[in-house]
Amino acid sequence: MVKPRVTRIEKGMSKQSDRPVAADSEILEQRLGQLDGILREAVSVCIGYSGGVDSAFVAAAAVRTLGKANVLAVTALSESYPENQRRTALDVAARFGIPHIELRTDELNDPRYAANPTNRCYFCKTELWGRLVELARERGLATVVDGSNADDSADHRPGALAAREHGVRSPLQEAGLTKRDIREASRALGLPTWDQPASPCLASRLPYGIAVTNGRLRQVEDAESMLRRLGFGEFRVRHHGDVARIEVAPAEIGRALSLAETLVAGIRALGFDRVLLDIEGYRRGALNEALVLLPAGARDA
Amino acid sequence: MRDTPNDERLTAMAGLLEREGIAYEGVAVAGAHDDVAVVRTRDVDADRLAAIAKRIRALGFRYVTIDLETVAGGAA
Repeated sequence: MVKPRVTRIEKGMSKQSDRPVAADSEILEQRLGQLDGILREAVSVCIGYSGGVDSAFVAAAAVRTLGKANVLAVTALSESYPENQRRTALDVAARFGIPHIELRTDELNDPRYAANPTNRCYFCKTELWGRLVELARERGLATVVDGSNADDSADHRPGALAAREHGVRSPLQEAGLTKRDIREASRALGLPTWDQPASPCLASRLPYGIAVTNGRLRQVEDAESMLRRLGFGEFRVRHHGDVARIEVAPAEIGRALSLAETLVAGIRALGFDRVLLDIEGYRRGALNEALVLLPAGARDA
Repeated sequence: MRDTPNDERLTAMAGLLEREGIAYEGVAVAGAHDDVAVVRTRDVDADRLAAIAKRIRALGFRYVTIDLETVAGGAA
């Protein structure tokens, strides 16, 4: 059974608290029951596994429901995948007995991806899901699944089109599980990812139209590592060409200002000319805000 | 004070800061897409700036920021 014992739903527990939430634990139990049924129907699964909140949960749930022999979690390693995320993925897989492999992907060598159009994710995910469908076939796994959740359908996600084109299923989304549900259920399962900040790939820090290069991705990764070492919780370093724009949680803006000298010295040393602090703080999908200025046809993959 | 030819947006932003009584040393536009508003100030009132961020964005910016180098007291 997937079902962890859910004891309570806390208001404000999720850092994505503006998202749809489960009204109470009964609804969450119901959704977890649906997840259990969806996984059983899938028979055996090959999971696109980044080690983030969602994919860690679906992988752990799959092992509980289907058994190790019917699960394979696959992490795609590339320049856009943060090293700290990889450590989490390895740790969770080891601690929760999730069969796990890594494979190299090479999206930076696809000029359609590297040009960083608004549907950049489509090209990355096309490669990823193509590789996983092939791998699943080789290993005799019936279904390829991802960690998309019920909140994700509200976002601009051209990668979802690639998933659909490859027949990838989204058990969490199909079960109606929101991010908050997943955090609560992850906590009940003992997953260390339950309160982990959202962790999209490093290329998401580059505004559309700014070419994705290994050098820029390393600048972002190193700058964010610095913020992590300084104790910030949820944050992003957005790469605007010669400018680094830091987003931290609104409650941490004061602390970021008090560390201005340290931040400027550290981030300029990475090659940025200017270091700016966003006064409105961290916002999930902040670079997608630009999409409202684009014609609808330009937004979708 | 400014590193963009878009004087109109900068003038409007400076005017807004003055009307709101928010101290600043300069304003600028940054970013590869010229969509980042920059307020240069050593004496940051983050709450008040955040409160008018939406109005600054309405002047034609996507993001409103503080120049940390000015905060740190370095050369802007």
